[in-house]
Amino acid sequence: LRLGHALLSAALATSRAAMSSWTHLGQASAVRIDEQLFAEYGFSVEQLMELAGLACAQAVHRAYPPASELDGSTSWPRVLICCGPGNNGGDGLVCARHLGQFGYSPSVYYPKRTDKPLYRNLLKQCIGSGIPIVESHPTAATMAADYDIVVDALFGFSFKPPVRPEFEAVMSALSGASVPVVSIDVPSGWDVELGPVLETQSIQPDCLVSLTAPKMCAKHFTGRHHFLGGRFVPPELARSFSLNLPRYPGCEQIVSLNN
Amino acid sequence: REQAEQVDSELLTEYSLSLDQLLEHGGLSAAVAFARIYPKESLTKERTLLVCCGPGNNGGFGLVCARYLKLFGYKLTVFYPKTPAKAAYRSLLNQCEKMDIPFLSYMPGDVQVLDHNYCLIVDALFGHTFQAPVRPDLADVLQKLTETAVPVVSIDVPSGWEADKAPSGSSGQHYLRPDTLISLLLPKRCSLEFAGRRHYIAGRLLPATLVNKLDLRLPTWSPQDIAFPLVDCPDGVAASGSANQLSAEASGNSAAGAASGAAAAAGAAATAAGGTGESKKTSTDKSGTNCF
Repeated sequence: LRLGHALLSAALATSRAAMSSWTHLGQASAVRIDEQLFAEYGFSVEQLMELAGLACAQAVHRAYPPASELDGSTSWPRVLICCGPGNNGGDGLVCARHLGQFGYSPSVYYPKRTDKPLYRNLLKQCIGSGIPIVESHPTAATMAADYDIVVDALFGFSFKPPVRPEFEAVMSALSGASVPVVSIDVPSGWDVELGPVLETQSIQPDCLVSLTAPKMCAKHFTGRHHFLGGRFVPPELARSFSLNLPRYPGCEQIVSLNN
Repeated sequence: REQAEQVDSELLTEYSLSLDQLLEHGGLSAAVAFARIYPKESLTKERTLLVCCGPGNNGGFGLVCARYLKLFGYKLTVFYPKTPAKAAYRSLLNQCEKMDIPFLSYMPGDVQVLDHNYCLIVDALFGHTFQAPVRPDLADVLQKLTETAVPVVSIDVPSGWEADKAPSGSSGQHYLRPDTLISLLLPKRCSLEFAGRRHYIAGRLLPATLVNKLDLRLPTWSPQDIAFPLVDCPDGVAASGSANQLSAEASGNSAAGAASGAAAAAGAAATAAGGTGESKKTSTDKSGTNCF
């Protein structure tokens, strides 16, 4: 029994080592890389958000493609995108718009909106694309009934507990969801370095789309699909942070991090 | 032309798309289209591209496109003659410089230098707002692009063409005839006269409500793509599908038929792209016109 256990531990350690051979960023590095992208390289938030959202949409398509029906028609999944008040939510708004372009049926849940032109404009683009903005707070039951996939774009790497009251309902719904959850960059509520820390609202996504580089908490990810997106890192920046990242194939905007 | 300008202005005002977003998505999509048509493995030994960027938005798309082509692994040089007026362009220029992309401020005096040094040229000089005549300081640049034997890939509108039509009249003899046209968001009317080997559409930003409002009929995109071929005739042989080129007025149904036929042809064409870098620019013969 002990030998079997030792072998199992060794196997798990090996596969974790394979996954963790890529760079996994801590909080400080993630913040500094962002700062460099904006200050040193002159990227704007709109630019990078546009790319991040597109990558997330393409990851959703790769992991959950539409099904072909017997009559030859295509069945497009209904997707609920839950957007938080910050940049993670902004990524979600862009993702929603591109999912709509691809053919999915997106709906956006955006309970708390920060009043900045960036977010106002992204929301306007969603509305202008005909994407419904859901008013009622979703529950695990309504998520399962009305949607096939849920995108978690609530909180990113800057999140610090506790969860505010206005997000308790959706966090419960996400942590109890029976449909696949796709988290953008960091599963909402996770500590960017330690992983799941919340006692009652622990989201376990089926798919994680790490942006720029995986975060340390990704080592705790146990879902089926892990993608890297955000193909905008200039080689010089990658070198200065010693980023060890997988190569994106050809002209693709996402790369799978699964073994 | 009017419709194209209306689309742009509505995107930026009514739909609050920022110029940054538009240029970024458009430039990325153009680079993806380029990489599909001319995979870097198929280029000649020299493998250097020249990206010619003009002073306006077309140049902005070119700068973004150049950055992605560099990320995709191409060797390239950017020609950017003017100090950019807009902050948006200055940022894009800075991003290119930070990617270690070399810049030219002057085109070589002899067109043979172009022919010798570059295997493909991306034409991002002028876009759909262009009106003849060409401004004097860029006339020579356009002339070089027109005369070079290197295949030219035009972004959105072949430079020197107006959105509605190809050049005609006394200047009709010698104007730019690119090998490939990459239309952004939707084809412009002048693309009806495009006789080059490949016409791709790139960029997926048009909101459904805008499409309905302006009664635009667009080709059917394949699901997650941001660039795909409308016409792909690598050997100048007619692709299957209707004779109508896609424009704001072409019927949506025949467009879907032509697109899927062209997409099938594109699959075969991509693998046969080996000789692309060495082939000459399409001459003024009519071989390309059968595509339509």
